[in-house]
Amino acid sequence: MTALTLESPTRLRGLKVYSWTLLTIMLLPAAILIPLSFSADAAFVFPPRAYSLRWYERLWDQSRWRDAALLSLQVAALAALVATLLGSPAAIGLARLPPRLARSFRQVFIAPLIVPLMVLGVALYFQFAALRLLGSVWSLVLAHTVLVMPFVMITVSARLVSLDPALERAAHASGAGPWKTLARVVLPLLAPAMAAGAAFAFIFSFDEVVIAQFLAGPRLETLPRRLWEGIAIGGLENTITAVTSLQIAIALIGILMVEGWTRRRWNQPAGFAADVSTRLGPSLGLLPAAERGGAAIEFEAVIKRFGDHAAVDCVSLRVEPGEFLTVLGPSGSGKTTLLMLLAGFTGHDSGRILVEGRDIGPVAPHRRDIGVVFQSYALFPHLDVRRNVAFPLSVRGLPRAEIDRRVDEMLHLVRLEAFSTRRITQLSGGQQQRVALARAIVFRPRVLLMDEPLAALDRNLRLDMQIEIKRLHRALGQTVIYVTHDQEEALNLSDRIAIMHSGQMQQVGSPKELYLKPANTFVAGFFGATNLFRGIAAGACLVCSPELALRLPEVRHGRIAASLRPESIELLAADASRRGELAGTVVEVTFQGSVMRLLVAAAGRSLVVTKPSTSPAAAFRPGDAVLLDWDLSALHLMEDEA
Amino acid sequence: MRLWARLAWPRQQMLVTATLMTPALLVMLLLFLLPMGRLLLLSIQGESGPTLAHYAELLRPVYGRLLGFTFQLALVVTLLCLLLGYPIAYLLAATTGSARRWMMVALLLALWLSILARTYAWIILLQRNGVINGLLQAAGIIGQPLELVYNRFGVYVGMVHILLPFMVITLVPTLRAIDPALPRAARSLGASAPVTFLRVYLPLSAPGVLAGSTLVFTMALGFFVTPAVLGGGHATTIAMVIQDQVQNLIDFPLASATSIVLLAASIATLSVYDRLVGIDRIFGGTR
Repeated sequence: MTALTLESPTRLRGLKVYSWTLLTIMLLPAAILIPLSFSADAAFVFPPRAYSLRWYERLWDQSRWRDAALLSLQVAALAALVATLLGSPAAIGLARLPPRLARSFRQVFIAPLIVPLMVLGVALYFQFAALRLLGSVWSLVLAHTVLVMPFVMITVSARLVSLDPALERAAHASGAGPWKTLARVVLPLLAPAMAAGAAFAFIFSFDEVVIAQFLAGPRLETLPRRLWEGIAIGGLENTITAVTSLQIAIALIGILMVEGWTRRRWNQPAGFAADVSTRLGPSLGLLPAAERGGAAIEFEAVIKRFGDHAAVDCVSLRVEPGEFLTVLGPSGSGKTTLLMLLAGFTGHDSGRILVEGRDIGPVAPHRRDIGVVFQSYALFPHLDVRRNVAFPLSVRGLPRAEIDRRVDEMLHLVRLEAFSTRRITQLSGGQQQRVALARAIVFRPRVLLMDEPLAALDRNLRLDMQIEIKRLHRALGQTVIYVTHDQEEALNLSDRIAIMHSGQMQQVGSPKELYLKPANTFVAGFFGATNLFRGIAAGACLVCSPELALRLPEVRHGRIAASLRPESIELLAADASRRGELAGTVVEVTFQGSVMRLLVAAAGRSLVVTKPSTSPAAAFRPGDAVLLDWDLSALHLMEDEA
Repeated sequence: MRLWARLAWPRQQMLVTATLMTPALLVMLLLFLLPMGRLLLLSIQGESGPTLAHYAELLRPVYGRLLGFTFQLALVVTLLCLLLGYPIAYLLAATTGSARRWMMVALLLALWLSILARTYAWIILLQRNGVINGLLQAAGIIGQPLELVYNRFGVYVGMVHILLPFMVITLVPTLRAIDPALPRAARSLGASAPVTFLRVYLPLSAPGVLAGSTLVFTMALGFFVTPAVLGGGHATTIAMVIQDQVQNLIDFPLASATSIVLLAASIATLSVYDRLVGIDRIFGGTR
């Protein structure tokens, strides 16, 4: 798919022939050894003249080979097990450390892979000799554990990196504490990687001879040691072909098992009980929201810094119970950080955040009783639709019947009854969005946070979902804080809109207030299109440039800005008998459906004018000379902070 | 439970992280860092206080030759693996679906086949009356059997065979991460296919090339089994010298000093890599 389009088919065919030839050579040893192990002959003739099982029989009959094989199996299994039990948690921990610390720990953990086996063998030989542990099975198991732990850690780390960090947050927001999140979300998702790591560890340990030679002493002869002696000292012997064939088979089985398991993993049919945790007891927030209502939220002078940069810069904001408030702002304005502070995923540096008058600063995210819908949805890929929605109830230890009842109700509410046993990957974007919504409200939190939940959907679906979200909000009555950078979305959904810019709250108000009375030039320019005039006011006149002076509706002084919305400008054909505020020339006309958008050059700048498509002004063409006129009261005056 | 719940959230998180990491760190400390420290101490241990005499002994020409050969062997093997492996990695990065899956299975199988088994198989294949000589003679291409094993040629074959999959597997993720739009953009801007490869694709794959080469080089530096068996005494590496010093000469301080030198060479290679690319890449990059 990727580079294919670039390559001529013939060249890629050449590459394929080359690659498969080389891969065949790579597998040649196996291809030779396996037939030879079934040879009836003692001589190495290929292909064999006759076949038999005599070398395998001999292998089993001779106790030295059998014991060696059993010992090796034991050592490899134990080493793989211990390495997985130690290495997987360590890899999870590593991913949570601050980057610089993680870096130094990584170097320690990766080291056994880089240090030559012989050096590690000699070092461990001296160490175990000093401890008088040479020659015990455990000394070899422990040495192999150190050796193979990097395999487990690398495999697990690679999987961790590919996981959406929002998954853990989603578990917390659903009410799962740190350990429960590990057990129910992180570990199940890592299980295939852990199995793969363990398999690699097993295969590597099963084949390791250098360290075994030093540590095991004369009594503990592992299979690789026996082989090594056979090859290096005893010369060629057909029994070895049988042994190595068995090793190849073990490697093959291991690889295929890991392959098969990782693929089947996400296909499990539903049915394992919503389990564990009746310990927590009845948690908060299990009453219908209609009875509880939404909660009031208050930010008091909240500051959050990342290094020198203040992502949230002294924000104060009150959200009324049951209100639908949209936080609108360009990307990087701090709106998502504000949500994350409220949800508890990051701590604020100063100020207070109150829910129902209670400071929730010290409350862990899973005890905040706040539902969160993430931008990436963060649906658990190892659970089906039903169990994703059931998750918050199940971690709160609700009785099975109650969970079933409420999940059914919720799936009905978001119209996904028919999809309850589907895997997450089998859903469309809109369906995933509805699952995420259902999961966030199934435990009836009094506050619901939504972080650009519709950003990934196409326009029509987005409009449908907006109606759906509105409907759910009316039915359930939670307080909703909704983050978006889409103005249309904000207009369609909100009771009030809060506009953020570079970490600061610019203005909070109803959509109409924001549009008609923007508090500053940023809000005026960001919320809806406008023509902004900045200059020095002297009396009832605003001087913007040598060519441009505007009449003002009132007497002002000093540096101010005036906003004039495109639809409040009248356009007239230039005519000596008429007078307007400004004269100009049409530069561009674009049809936008219900309105025409005209760009007019006047007094050394350009102005945007919109007119209904049906109005006479819509007939102007580029190059036409026009007069612009407006009612003086249409000018909205602001302090100019710039 | 009550006590735990009273802890602040960041404190809880920190405790969880510490609990997860402590056992593994303890094992690493006791069974890796401590033995390495002991090795270092032993290498400077003299009859009367610390000494560098064991290191001085390594300055003898014979060790210089052995070290030189070990480095040369590792370098040549690395280059061969890179040249042979890059096209396979390229193909793997460019294909999807079942063709890719089968290639990956073949590669993984080659990666995890027992090293001893493979070394043994190469003897059977390459020896005087082995399979390859047999085939060549039967086809009438050669009259006398060729000396293919128990010399350096055999060692190169065996080592490249073992290390090639490591190279390919390290290369693939970097090549896959190259945005296919970039070579296309180069073509649309007038670069021919070879020029696009040389000036766009190859430079973009440099981190993967470095990662694979470093991995293969450090592994080749410490190789023991393959040169010991397939070299027939004509390809003595430093690892073989160390084994000899421990098991036959029973000169532990000298063996420690030699080990430290080999270790230093590996670490030096790796820190060069760390400077150029960053060791974090081995862990699948950072979040």
